[in-house]
Amino acid sequence: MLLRPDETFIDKATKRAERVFPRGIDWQTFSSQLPGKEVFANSVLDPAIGIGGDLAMKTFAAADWQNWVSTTQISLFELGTRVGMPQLEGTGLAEGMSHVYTTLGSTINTIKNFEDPAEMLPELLKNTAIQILQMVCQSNIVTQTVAQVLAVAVWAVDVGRAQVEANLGKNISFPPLQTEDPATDTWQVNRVFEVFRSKGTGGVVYPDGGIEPASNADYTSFYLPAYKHHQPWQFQHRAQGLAAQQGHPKESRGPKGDAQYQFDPGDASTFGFMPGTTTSLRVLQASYRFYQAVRATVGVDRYSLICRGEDKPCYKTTKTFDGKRDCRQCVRAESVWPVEGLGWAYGGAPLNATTPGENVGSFYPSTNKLLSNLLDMVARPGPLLYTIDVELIHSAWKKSFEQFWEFAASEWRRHNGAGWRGLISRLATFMTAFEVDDELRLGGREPAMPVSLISSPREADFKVAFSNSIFSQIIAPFCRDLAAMQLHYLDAVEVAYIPPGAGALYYAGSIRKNKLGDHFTTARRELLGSTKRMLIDLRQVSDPDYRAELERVGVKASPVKQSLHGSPGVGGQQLLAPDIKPRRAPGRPKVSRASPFEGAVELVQRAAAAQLKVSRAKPKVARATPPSKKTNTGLALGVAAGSVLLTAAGIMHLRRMTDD
Amino acid sequence: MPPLSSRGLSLGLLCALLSCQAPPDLTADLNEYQTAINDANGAACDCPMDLGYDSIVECDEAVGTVTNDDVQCLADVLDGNEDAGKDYLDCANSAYRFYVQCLQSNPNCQDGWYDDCASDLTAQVAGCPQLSSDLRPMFMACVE
Repeated sequence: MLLRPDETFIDKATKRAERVFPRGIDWQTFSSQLPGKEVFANSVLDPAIGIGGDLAMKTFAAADWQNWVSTTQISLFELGTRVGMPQLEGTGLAEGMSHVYTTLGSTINTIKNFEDPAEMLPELLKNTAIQILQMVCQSNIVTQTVAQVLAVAVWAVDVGRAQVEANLGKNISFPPLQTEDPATDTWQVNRVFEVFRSKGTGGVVYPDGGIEPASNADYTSFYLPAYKHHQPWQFQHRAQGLAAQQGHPKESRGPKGDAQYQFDPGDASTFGFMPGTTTSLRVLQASYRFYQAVRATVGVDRYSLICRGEDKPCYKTTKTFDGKRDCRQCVRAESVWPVEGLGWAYGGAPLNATTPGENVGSFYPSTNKLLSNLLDMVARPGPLLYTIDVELIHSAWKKSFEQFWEFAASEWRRHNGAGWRGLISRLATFMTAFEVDDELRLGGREPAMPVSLISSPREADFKVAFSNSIFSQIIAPFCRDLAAMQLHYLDAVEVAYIPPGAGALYYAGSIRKNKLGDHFTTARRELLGSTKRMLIDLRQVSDPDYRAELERVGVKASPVKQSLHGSPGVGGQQLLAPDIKPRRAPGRPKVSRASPFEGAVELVQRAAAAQLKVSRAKPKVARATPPSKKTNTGLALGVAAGSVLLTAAGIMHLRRMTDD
Repeated sequence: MPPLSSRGLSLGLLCALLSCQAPPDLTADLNEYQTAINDANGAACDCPMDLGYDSIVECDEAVGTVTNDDVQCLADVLDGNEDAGKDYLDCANSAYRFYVQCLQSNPNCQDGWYDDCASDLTAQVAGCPQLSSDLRPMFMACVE
């Protein structure tokens, strides 16, 4: 159901007509609330986070939450006034939507005041706007958003601590090589809204007024690979490491005489958000520096110990060991992997999964949350269901991942050196997914990463199977389920409301010649001959040709009062021809809700535990309370560390709660 | 008249310069060729019906990609014939760039548009300095 930009409703309390959307246009431009600039000046994270001072996790979380509130308010305005929103149960759409603009902002106080995520959730759920959002998305949006906000906050605090300890650039997990990927999170979010507006315009005028709905709403590009997916992947050589993306980057000279890379995102209308995940795939990066302390306070031992068998000793400090030589280096295991004791690290061997390196796409937290929430709204019965072409998304991602596997195998053969292969292996970890406790996780700097998904440089070939790719594990099943859902709901009265130009069904002004397009034509024809056609609200039929056909077969302007919308039975999702045993509606596509920062969070959690053991061994360290329980040990490390411990555990708990 | 030894030195330098002149580096040209053909295939498949396919997906599957290995194959073919290769690639790259622009200016997939673009491309490539008859089949085999 469409809303006008100046839509009003009668407020039950004041008995006055109130506007649904705020006045003015300033609120429609996103501006990141992440404070400060000094830390991530050259990173993709927004001019961000003055964590070096006293800014702590709560401040960051509040800022990130505020960003989410802002993107949600803008996106609901755009969708509600261009494509339409599903009916809400128990309340009118206009009244329900108005809460998103009047009360959602107040949830920031809850975020600021939390001590325990488990206590925060019920408080948030009391908020009317949150309840409306849960209805709109038909998913547990609050827990999954809180989990993502907390994950990024914990990570950021760890980065801040590393900065405080003057170790920025070598001991933290953020993109160390980034030069120029189109701008910041703010830029990306506003670009999403620009594309929203450009791909959701139209000129259809309703019989009752002047709304111009999105007659060509095609939001497929949000979920296509960010770079041209028909180009092969290429390496980019950097001063401190290696990066990879699809297509040839343009190299130019930076202001300080250094090389700068300009990535080629085409017309920047594709964002690389991977359906079924919570992150986008952008440039992949890996550093030449292989083994670093996870935390600056953890010492690393200097020399290799005993080397027997086939491995050659390196006799290098961990600082100078760059993995280029195929030798054996003993390091404190905590420094490369957050487990206790000493461990062996090999030049390019499997442990190199700990190499600093990232999928830069993880570092667009607001963009990722925005596109993830939008996809939640798309992947449910309603007006948005047909705004994306699932077939194209599936095909593009398949091609992108296949090209990566081809690239990795080819480069593997080209380079024999363990260091090179180690970097390729490292980059490939970002393209994999694996299952832990029945839950899919993306590969990367993950403590739980199975060794089988890390190709050993000692092997002659790149050996990670394509079946372990994110595409095979997550994207393809997601697309399959969403395509089944699109096909199923064509047999509902709602088929009449699909605007001409909807991305899944139309291309270049014509109905697509595929299974979905054919079924759409058939379903509309059958609806014209069915008595169910009388349930159609003619005012909502935005396709003028189909509206004329409906009028021809006797359908009048809405038989349902506007105020009754949302009542039981007044919706569009009744199947046209109910069988004796109605077909079972397909389930919603499964989404891996794990935050891309979860691996980093786990590292922090384990490092904190290891640090605690060190502090226990030193009697002079003051402790507030005996470390008898996990929460108490957290307190012993101070408030911030305590929050981190608690929150890391909370994120795990929250993630389990978000499974739909 | 300069002394003989001096003339000999000059000639020697000249010869050395001529004989040591490195052949042109084709890396950038080949990369551009790869990008241009892949872009062209992608743009052509935006209107799959023009190429005889029902969907972009089918078209994409059918036209394939010029991979990094294919580029290596092209480089091997042109090894020792860099000058001829550069002349051809410069011209062909330019033709493909126009072709991509032509295809991209047809968002509504108008009938006949693709054919016009394709015939322009064919004419332009035909007018390029050609590779020798023994190189040409090997060159084309790399990208087919």
